Amino acid sequence: MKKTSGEKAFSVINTVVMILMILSTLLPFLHVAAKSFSSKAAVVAGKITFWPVGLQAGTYRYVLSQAEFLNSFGVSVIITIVGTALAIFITVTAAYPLSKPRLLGRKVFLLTGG
Amino acid sequence: MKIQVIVYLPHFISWAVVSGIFITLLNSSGLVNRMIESMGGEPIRFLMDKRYFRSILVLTDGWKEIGWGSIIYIASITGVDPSLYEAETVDGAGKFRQVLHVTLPAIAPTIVMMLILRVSNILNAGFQQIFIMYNPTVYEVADIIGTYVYRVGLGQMKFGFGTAVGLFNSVVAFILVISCNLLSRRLTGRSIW
Repeated sequence: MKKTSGEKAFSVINTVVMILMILSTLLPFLHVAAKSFSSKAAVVAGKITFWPVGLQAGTYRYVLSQAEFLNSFGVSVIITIVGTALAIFITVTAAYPLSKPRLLGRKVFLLTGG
Repeated sequence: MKIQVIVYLPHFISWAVVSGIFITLLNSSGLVNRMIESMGGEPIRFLMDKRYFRSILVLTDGWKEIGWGSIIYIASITGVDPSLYEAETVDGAGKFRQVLHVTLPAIAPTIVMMLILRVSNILNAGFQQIFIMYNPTVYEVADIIGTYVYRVGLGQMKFGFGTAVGLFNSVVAFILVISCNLLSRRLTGRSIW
């Protein structure tokens, strides 16, 4: 099927908007990532846009050597795993009785009274 | 579908990190201000300016949640029966008529459901985001109930006041959700419960 000029214009505008969206999402990340790999002097002088200046990885070594960081990372992982498991268990066990019409006061719990 | 993945990536990053990124970009020596300066403008202290702060809150929230917010709509638009579009084309409808008469009616239940779910968040208004990004110079335009209650209730140890306002907040949100659901059932015949 041949494309009309309107459809052509649409696909051009569509592509441009999509590319702008991708750039606006990725460029902030790229900027921060470039900063994290740059030397302190370059960061203070404001030389970095999207590519590291004065490459170094000492910042990452520092973060990974901090006991507090590793501890808080561990806490995050535990909370995520245990919290998700508990949340699923509780919501499922709460949903099951609510799905039974013979449950006393079901309409009150589900706000479907009247 | 790659763009979808990229655009909803920021949703999975916590507000602490997202705020950090934007504070880095927007501070007086950040990338945005260097661009303004290189074009011959004066640097703007975005996060300390009452005129810009709210726009920044809205834009960063949009930046973070636009992809995630669109997933449900994309799924629901993909689920529309293609034969309906064909029928509309046969009837001589252009693209805009098809959107108006096929797509919108087909996803109306989804729109209503999303609206009701969002209403409960109105008073919440992104506590984390504002709490991390604001500072005393913009309290006037940035304070929401949540941040105010936190400062007074926990900061000044007025626990009674904090609890009362918090409860008020929940009650208002509850009433909003109930009435929105009721209204939607009366007007469109669709509701969550």
